[in-house]
Amino acid sequence: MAPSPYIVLCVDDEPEFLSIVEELIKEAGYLSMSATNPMDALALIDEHKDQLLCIISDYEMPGANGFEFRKMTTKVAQDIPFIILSGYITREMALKGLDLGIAAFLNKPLEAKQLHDTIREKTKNYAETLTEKAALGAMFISESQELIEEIEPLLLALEGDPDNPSHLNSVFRLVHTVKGASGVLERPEITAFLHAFEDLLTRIKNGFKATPQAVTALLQAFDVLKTTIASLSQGKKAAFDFTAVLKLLKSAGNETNPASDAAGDKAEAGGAPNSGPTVAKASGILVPTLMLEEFMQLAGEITVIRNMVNKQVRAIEQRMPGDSDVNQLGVLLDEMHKINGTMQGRIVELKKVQVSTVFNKLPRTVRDLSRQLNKPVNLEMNGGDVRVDTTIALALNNSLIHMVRNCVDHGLEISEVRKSSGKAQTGTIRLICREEKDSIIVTLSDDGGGIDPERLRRKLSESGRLPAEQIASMSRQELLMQIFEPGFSTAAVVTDVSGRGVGMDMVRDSITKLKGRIDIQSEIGKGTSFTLSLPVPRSVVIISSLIVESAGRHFAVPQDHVLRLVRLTPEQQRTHLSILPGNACMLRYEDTLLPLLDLAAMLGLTSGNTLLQAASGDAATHHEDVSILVLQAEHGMFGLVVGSVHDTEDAVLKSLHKCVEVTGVYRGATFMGDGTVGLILDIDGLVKAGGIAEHFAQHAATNAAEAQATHGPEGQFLTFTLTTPGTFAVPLDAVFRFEEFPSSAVKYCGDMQAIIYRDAVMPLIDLATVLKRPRPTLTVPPPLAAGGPATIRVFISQSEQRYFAFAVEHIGEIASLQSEIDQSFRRPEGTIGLVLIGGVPTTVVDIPGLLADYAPIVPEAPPQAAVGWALF
Amino acid sequence: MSLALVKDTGPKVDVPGTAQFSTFFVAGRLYGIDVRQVQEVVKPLPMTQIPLAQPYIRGLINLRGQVATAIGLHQLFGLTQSTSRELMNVICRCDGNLVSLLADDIGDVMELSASQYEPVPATIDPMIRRFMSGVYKVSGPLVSIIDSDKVARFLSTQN
Repeated sequence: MAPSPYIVLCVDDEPEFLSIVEELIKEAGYLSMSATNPMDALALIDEHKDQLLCIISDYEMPGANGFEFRKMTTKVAQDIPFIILSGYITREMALKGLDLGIAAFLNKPLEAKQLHDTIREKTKNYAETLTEKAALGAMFISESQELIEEIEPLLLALEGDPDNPSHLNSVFRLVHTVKGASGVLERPEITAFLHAFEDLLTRIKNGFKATPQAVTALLQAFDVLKTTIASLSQGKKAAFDFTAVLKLLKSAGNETNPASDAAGDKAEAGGAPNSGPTVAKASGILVPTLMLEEFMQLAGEITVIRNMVNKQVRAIEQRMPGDSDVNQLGVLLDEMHKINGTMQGRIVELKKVQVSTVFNKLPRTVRDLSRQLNKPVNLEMNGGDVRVDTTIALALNNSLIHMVRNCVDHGLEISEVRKSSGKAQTGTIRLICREEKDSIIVTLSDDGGGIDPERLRRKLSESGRLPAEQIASMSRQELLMQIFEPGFSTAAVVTDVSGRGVGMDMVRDSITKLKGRIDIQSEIGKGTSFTLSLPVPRSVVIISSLIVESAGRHFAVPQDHVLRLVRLTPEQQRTHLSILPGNACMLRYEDTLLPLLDLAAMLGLTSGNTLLQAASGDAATHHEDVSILVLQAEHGMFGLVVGSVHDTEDAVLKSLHKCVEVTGVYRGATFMGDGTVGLILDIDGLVKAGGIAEHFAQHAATNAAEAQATHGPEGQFLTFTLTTPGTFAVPLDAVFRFEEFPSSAVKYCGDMQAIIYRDAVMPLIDLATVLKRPRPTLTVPPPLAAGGPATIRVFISQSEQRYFAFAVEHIGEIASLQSEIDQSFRRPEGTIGLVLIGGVPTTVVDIPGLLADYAPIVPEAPPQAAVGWALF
Repeated sequence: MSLALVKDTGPKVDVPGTAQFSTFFVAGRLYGIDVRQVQEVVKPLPMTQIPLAQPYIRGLINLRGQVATAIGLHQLFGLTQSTSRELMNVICRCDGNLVSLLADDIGDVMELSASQYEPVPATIDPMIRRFMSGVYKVSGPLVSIIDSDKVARFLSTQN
């Protein structure tokens, strides 16, 4: 038998007897309480009235007998069944008992069965009443919680716009509803308090101006109401003391108020109390989120099984084409598929709430803080109608209050400072929520003083938490991210508002727990902006994937990342793959060089590097096609070399154990067509593991520099040296390959030096000679010094399907520019200008310019003719 | 109003002083795991290897639509003998994850009494000792008790 939530109170002056009765009551499945005298008993009755099912009292007690005790209880608990225990029951007692409404008499010594039966029989009706009351109370709590959610923003609106009667009428109506409903609680003190609240509102309606003092009183009273209902919902029965707040409400209403007459007319014109923005709530029920989550998980599992059944049916269809039963099965399955899809969508919706439920709490926080710190603040909120999963709402709820407080306290300057720096005195905090693809993006920005990264650097150095060199080399962004580290506070003064260095790390934790991200942008004097990006949780994540094979293993590559499939024949490999110094392979793709990763090599599935062989163009060792996926990672594009590419599949994402997750290259597992488990690759993880993240970072830096520079450098630069002094560079985009040739490979074609390269003549240009001359006269280049090095190093550029080799001394590093190209110096022909690379002044060579000069002297001939010509 | 869902954990076989253990063999030695920690024992299943994972992580198994991570006890215990045979799966649910402990062979479910219990002897290799909660002396070989919670903790703290 499930224990009843109700209490049976037993009163007897003999403790030994009490313990026996208590035992019997518990046996019957009730909660038991006991008191040794009527006074204690009354206190218990008062405290537990809502749960008290019946009272069992001894007749003979010192101080008051059972009847006298009964008389005392009638005032507070007349309806609670009262049972009398007595060793001797007379006729007179029984008659008097009728008068006093005694439910039953029980003989001492007590028999267990008799006690149980009597309690059950005599409390049957009352138990129903109690259950009903509890249900009514619960309903009141849930309804009034919804109503008071609406009150707060209205009160704030009232303060901002005191002459608008619609806010006032709405608040009045809501408070009135709560007051009316509160009757079911049978707690007169709550009803009385609500009455006082309503009184002040009535006064305002009747012409008393909604001064800030009055609104503050209303807000404080509102807080009391909120905590009262919250503690009721937790089942607390303690009496509430409303004296202080009642006084406050009264005094606010008694202030002299000059504007009363004019406002009064307007309030009258406001119309009936039921006109207002709020409409009646649609009927609904409360469902615990836990149950929804379980439901969501089960629905996800159905989808997984549905997909497996689907595969089986397709297999049967292939084996038995045209079989009508199998066809019917397929039709039914499709139907189920549709319904299941709809159900999935609905379940996800079920768990969502409007972001406004979170946002609505913020104006109050800002208002209070703004008054406390004397900083006028304007809070703008947008996108409150976006619906988000409850887990996201919870994370936002925990984070935003803290972040908004930070904004007001640290972000915004005091008005004097704002004024002197030419800003509006009122600071602005902007909060925007939007849904983007599979994420909820929340941005919180202020127009305050911004964060000085150098100040963070100093703070960090003082804290001594990191080695000095590391601090010194930190970028601006890295420094800003430090505010999310535990124990880091930039506040000069620790206030009770914020500045204790706890908080931002917790904000980051609650965001990353949901696999979200938090970013910060800040500009000194202009303000700070935070961006929270939270992935939308799904009951089942289906990743449309491309199945690839590498060294005999199969992997799923999320289609979202796949830009293109490239298949290179051995011939194309020689023209499209390049090896950079350090054996990094690059793919020439649509006029850019993309870093290449070999999946098999990365995962340690092969020993050799097939890529290097392919790129070196060694036809003897490598004569197979290479399949490359051009992939879009978060910060850039790259090529992934795989063995072969198979078909696409909708992979149902299954999460991995943490011990597998740490490899960093898998996003999850899934079931392959044959029922075995397959691994889904994590593209951004591959970028990290493959060590090309650095490449992207440089690329991004170059792009940023490009955006700022008027004569922006394009992409990255390759540095090299010549036999003449100085360092030189060319845009990496202009470089097709690096090659080394034996000196004997250099042929002379008239005045021109050339190398036979890929069955065509490739003119060899000696940059050292060209650039030394006042004007490069490429038509008569001098021969390379006789008796020079046995091999010559060149970089090859491609123009209009032709190759050109530029002889250099050494190939240096690939670097992004740290400054703009300076074109102000007198510069030799064939160069663009000077630039600082790694602190070294570097001459940028104008490859297109040189080639434009060069173009006319190359005969326009088909390749076959060129071969003959070259051999001449 | 808070509504909590109480999950029924089912009846516990709790004869005072005794406990039941699923036993299995790894490299010739007998090990046991409390039956309450074991979900089931399954015959050898196809396994997908995971490149770059730790050597004791042998692969992923499809267990009726759930993914289980297979842990090679040989490798976990630092034993050199490797068996070419297919291994049995002792499936445990640890922290909501399905983990399969790979064993050479499966033994009986043994009911062992507290009087046979002894703490982990100091002579046992630390590589194995870190996962053990005690030994039981039975008539035949000694049963080394593996605590799946200790294995789970190890797995989720290794980077």
